[in-house]
Amino acid sequence: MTTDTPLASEPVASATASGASPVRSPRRWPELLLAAAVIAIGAITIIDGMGQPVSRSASGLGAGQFPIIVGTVTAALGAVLLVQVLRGRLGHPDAAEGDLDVATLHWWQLALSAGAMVGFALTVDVLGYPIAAALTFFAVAVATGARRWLVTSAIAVVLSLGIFYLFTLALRIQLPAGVLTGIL
Amino acid sequence: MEGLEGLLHGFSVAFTLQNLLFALLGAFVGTMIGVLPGIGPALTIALLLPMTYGMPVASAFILFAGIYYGAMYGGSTTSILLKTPGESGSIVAAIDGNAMARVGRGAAALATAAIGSFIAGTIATVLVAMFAPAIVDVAVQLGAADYFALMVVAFLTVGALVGGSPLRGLISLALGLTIGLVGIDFQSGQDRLTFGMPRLLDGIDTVVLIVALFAIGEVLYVVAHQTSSKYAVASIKGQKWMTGADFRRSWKPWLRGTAIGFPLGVIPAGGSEIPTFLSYSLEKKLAKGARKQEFGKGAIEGVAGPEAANNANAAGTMVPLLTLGIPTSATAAIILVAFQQYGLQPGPALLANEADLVWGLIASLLIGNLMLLILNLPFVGVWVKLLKIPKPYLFAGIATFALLGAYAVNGASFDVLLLIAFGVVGYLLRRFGFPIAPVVVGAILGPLAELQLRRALDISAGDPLTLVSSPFSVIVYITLALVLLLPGLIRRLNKRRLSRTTMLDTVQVDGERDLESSATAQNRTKETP
Repeated sequence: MTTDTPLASEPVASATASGASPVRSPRRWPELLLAAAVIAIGAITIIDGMGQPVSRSASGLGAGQFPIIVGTVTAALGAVLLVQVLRGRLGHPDAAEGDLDVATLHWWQLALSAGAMVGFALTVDVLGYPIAAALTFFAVAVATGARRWLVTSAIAVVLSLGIFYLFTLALRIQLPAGVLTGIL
Repeated sequence: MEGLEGLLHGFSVAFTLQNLLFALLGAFVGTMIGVLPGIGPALTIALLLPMTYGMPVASAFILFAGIYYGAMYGGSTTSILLKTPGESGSIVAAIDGNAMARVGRGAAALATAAIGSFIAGTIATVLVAMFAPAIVDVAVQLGAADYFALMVVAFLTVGALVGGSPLRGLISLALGLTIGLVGIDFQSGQDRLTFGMPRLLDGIDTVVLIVALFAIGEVLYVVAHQTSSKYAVASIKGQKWMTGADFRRSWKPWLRGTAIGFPLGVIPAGGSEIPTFLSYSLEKKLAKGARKQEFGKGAIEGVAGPEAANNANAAGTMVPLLTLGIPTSATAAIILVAFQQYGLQPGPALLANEADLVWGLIASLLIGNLMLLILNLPFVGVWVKLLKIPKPYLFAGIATFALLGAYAVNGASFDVLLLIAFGVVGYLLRRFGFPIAPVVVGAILGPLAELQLRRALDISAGDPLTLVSSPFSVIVYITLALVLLLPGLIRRLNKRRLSRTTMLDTVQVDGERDLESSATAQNRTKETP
């Protein structure tokens, strides 16, 4: 809960950080990369803004000025973050979700669920919504710890078919049937 | 139309059989989705948005009113029984609420949360109706520079006051503003930050963005870092509701919480975290003797006050949203998106042009609130059963619905890929302590702020002094400076009087104790998923 105390801004936060944070997440490089990414996003926004044509509006403000302002602010904040992280002020992970421990990272589970979602995006138009959704549900459930394969697959199939019929029949929103066109 | 008159008119709109059924459906679905762990009100509305694509506008908004408050009720049930608040406004109530649940007083905690939410929601919604017309009278006289000033306030307070670190909040905001830039510039027609992708010309769809940051980010976060694939739900079977003593201890915190929550929702003061924390520390300060020791271990005041503050705050955010078109929380931002999908832009003109809609919405909030009290007091046991859904199916379900939501926006798998990309961003933000709400507010309010800025400067032929030329904008900027600088000054003053216990310290100590207890709890229940 310390992590989300809104009244505790920088000074207090750093005081607790020196106590709790280094033990839980001793590595700095992920946050350094993050700070660098923020600076890069700012830089890209500035470059994109500078490439915009000169405005003929009354104020002289065109498509470019606001992005340049936003980009500058973003890059500057990223630079401040970089300095803060280098001085050891790391972020506190979101505490609002219950039983979580950021010191351990379940790599293959994370990759499986992210991969399943990308798979959905790539196959939904070809395989159709019911099959793509059922496969994704199954994969994410397994990644989150489902072990009863038969029950999980049954739920996946029933749920995706249920959603398909709810949307196409009751709500009149079209979803692709894909390879099952003509069967459903 | 003045407040009461408008409200009565609103009831005449809402009191048709069809609209009452929509309000009930909204309250029901809102509670059902909101009670699921990890789903807050913002995500609930975003996930249910696709369902309304085919509906007439009035029905859709009455449905939203029910969903909005329903998700708030459902969220407090989860945070008390499961200690997964899901949104920042419920964090404080979860501390003592969950402590009560663990010693067999969960039913009392749920009851004080529900009744407190009802009282706070009702008072605050009536106040919205009273305040809205008066603020509209002022708002119609505001120029572009004044609006820009108000939006700057919303940006900085949401960015700097949400979450533990102002710097990280402001970075979230800057990322949100950058996301808001993507697409065709409204004035010149130039494309910005599209990197040659035609699909990005329309900008990044806000529904996709919100569902990605909240739902996909959440799923990835839980999958990557969960310590257990099971939830430890506290039971409320056979427990007594509130006793007379509970009532005597609760009613004052309910009212005080309302008094703290509503004004902090009306002024853009950065979400529901601050009012709930203020309410908690106030109740703790006012508690005497042994009661004071109960805080952190299950004091009913520590649930009653913050829950009331949270709901009053949520209702208060409707004032700037409906009268000025300025969202000050993630939830308000999504309601703004819902308006925009029907081609409506919230603001002073909305109350005049769409009186039926706005007053119907406010009246539905009151009706929905009453329905929710009934749905949540006697029937809370039914909702608790939903918490028995095994965690893997729950999160797989959230992912499936999120993917569906993104796909249904345009029927394009490009949006789904965008959803996953921003879901990864949402994961990283959570993991490294960047608040999500400023991203959403920045992305939605950013384009509106740019519009007002360029409008103001076009009128003044490019003279930047126009931004501080009206008395209104000057007052707004001075107030903003005070709001941002005062906490620092107060803290500095307090440091000189270290012997005194400050409000900050009391909350801090509770937080630490709490972190320790949850850390030990995690160690105890450690099992590989």
